[in-house]
Amino acid sequence: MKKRIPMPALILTLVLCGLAVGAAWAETLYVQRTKVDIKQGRGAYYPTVFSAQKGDALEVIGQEGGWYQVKTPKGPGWVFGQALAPQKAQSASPLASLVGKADTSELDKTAGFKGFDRPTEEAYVSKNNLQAQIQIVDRLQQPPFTLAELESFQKMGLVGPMGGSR
Amino acid sequence: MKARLVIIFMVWLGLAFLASSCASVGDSISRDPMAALQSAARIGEAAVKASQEITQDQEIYLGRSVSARLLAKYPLLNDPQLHKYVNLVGAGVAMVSDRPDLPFHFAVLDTDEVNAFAAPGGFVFITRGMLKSVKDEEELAAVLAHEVGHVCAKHSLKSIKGELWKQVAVITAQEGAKHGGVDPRLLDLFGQATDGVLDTLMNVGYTQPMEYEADRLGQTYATRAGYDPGALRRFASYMQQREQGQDKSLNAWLGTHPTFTARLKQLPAPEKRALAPEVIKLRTNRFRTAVRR
Repeated sequence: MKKRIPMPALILTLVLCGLAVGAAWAETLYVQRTKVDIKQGRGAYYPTVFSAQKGDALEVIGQEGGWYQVKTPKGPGWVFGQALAPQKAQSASPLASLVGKADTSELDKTAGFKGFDRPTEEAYVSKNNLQAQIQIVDRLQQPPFTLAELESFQKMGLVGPMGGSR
Repeated sequence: MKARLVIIFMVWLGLAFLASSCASVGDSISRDPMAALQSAARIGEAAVKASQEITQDQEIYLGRSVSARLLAKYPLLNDPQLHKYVNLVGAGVAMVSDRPDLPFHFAVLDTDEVNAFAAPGGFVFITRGMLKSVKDEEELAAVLAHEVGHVCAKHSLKSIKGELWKQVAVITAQEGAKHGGVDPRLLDLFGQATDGVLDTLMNVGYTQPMEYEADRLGQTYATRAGYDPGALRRFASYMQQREQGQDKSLNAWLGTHPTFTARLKQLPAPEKRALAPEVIKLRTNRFRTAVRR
């Protein structure tokens, strides 16, 4: 004798499945790096919309080619997947593995610096008389093209993410 | 029922043990943090591996200092149009590389030497001599993609001894208790790391497996970016002829790289792809305009 599934139970099951799918889509990912720049487009050359810190939770609203579109207080932006994980960040500081402590965020806050940083570089530059050269490096870090020029160059030559095989 | 009680008791016992272990680690650190850090610093291979991790920001600071040292040896070519063009081509391959979120910067060095360098953090330098050796935008993209490959695989960072990262980690941890100033030991390590990378780039060279890996990655990125997949092979074949003709301008390059003959043997067969003639023509024209030949 066949048992018929009651209609209310069937509807409830479908609703629950729908909710589960919705929950999976509205995924939350956590920043794993000390700082990550969330970009206007899928690439490092796009303007930064918002800078998130390690441990920040980001709600995913889209995904394309290894990049995640996420919500930020300044509007939606794109962040590369390698900077995110489904779990909240464990401290990337080497200190964590050295002392066997899972989260060193409190220690990080009290630290005067975290390894190689701006003050270390400044001291090195001063010691080695590299002031003129580091100014050139500063200029090199400014892209010599506008975003429109980059997009036009790639579109016309069919190169890069806009024109390539990917 | 009895079995269930036993399982609950064992889980409870396990949790209690875990809690007491954590408390004892925390206590020992708070009682004598320096001793705990120093003893932990000797915990062996796992710690060394962990301390080799470097954040992107730290990698960029190291790359900046290496670049400054390179610029102390080679002046930058003063040609804004060429600088822009090389950056546009480089950006195309960098955006489809394995580190598309790293802002790469490309620059031309004013020297006849045939060479190219990849500093940590995405700083790529190509010499005027190398620019004269590439025939078109396809080959330029292939050469830049090879350098992007070195950065993506973090070859220059791997050339620094693991012991140095371990010392950085320990000093950073010790500095946690202090405020302000740069620890002279850290400054010394920063100098050692910069020297180490520079020595690899200019004197010692990467290992042969690293060069072959950068070739493979470069060919992949250039292909992904829509360039001629066979361009790196074409460039390497041309350079092989110059190498066999004992071209002296290649001396610096060959001092730090495997021969092109060896590299050609290792390079995978490129993907077959026919590019539209009008696209090739456009790319060639803009290459000629920028490089002014």
